[in-house]
Amino acid sequence: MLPISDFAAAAVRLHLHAAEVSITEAALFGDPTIVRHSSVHRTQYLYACTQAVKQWYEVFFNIPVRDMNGVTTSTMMQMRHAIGLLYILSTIDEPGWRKEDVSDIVNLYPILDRLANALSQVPAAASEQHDLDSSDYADHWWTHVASTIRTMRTIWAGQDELGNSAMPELVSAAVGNAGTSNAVDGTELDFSGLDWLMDPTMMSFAV
Amino acid sequence: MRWTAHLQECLHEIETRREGPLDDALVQCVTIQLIADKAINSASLDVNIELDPYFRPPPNLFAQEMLTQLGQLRSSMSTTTWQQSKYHLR
Repeated sequence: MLPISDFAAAAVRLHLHAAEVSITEAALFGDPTIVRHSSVHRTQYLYACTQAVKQWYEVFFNIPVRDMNGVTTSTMMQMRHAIGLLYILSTIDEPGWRKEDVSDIVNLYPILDRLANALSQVPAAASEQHDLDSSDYADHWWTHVASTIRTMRTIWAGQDELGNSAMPELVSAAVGNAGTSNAVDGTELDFSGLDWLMDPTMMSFAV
Repeated sequence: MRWTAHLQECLHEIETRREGPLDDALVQCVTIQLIADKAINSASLDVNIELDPYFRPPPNLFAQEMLTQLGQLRSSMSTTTWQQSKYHLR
């Protein structure tokens, strides 16, 4: 098991990258078609946001699977948020933004695959440490989360083939007020393809 | 939760005394959150102000300043012992 000091270090670093995400994602709000002096900065922030998401996942995947059962609810909310944001960054169409660059920095689908694979292994790994009841892995919360992520991967991949994008149908310009947790969670912005964020399993992060 | 002078005082006490091995982590997490909150609050104010979009200030006027503060915080973390772990901030 990870020493508590390593857990703390990971938590702080995740929190720091989540904060960078929260600050830079503000560039997603507002009308991208309005050309003004800040438009260059807007694109720079979107790239910075992409880098922050990448760094967040680098830290997260450094946590051994057997120890993921001990991550905080806040971390899981950050994970949920980062997935949705990465989807938006990967598919949004707007002037000056090369969404192809996103996959070069951090590719959505390998992240989803790796995430689902890791989370599905948590019950078995944790039970070896007697952290979990091993009676029924299939019905465990972690298994449901992994399954939800796999389902969304299938849906999003299908949408990509149809050429759908995450261009906001309505930009409500509502920046979240929950610190680094939930600035974009599907309830504030109407991005097509993000309905899965309302899935009961994913919503349980917010409980 | 609204940040108050009392909470600031408590944070300072924890930072100064460092009685437990995780006190540094707590102080850093709270500090990070305060920086993020400042940026988010400034962005919320900005998008809610009804001004001509051509004359509106940048979407997040304080974002660069807040990112700089996070960078400074990251640099200052290198001296703490728990940062010697493999997750230490570079």
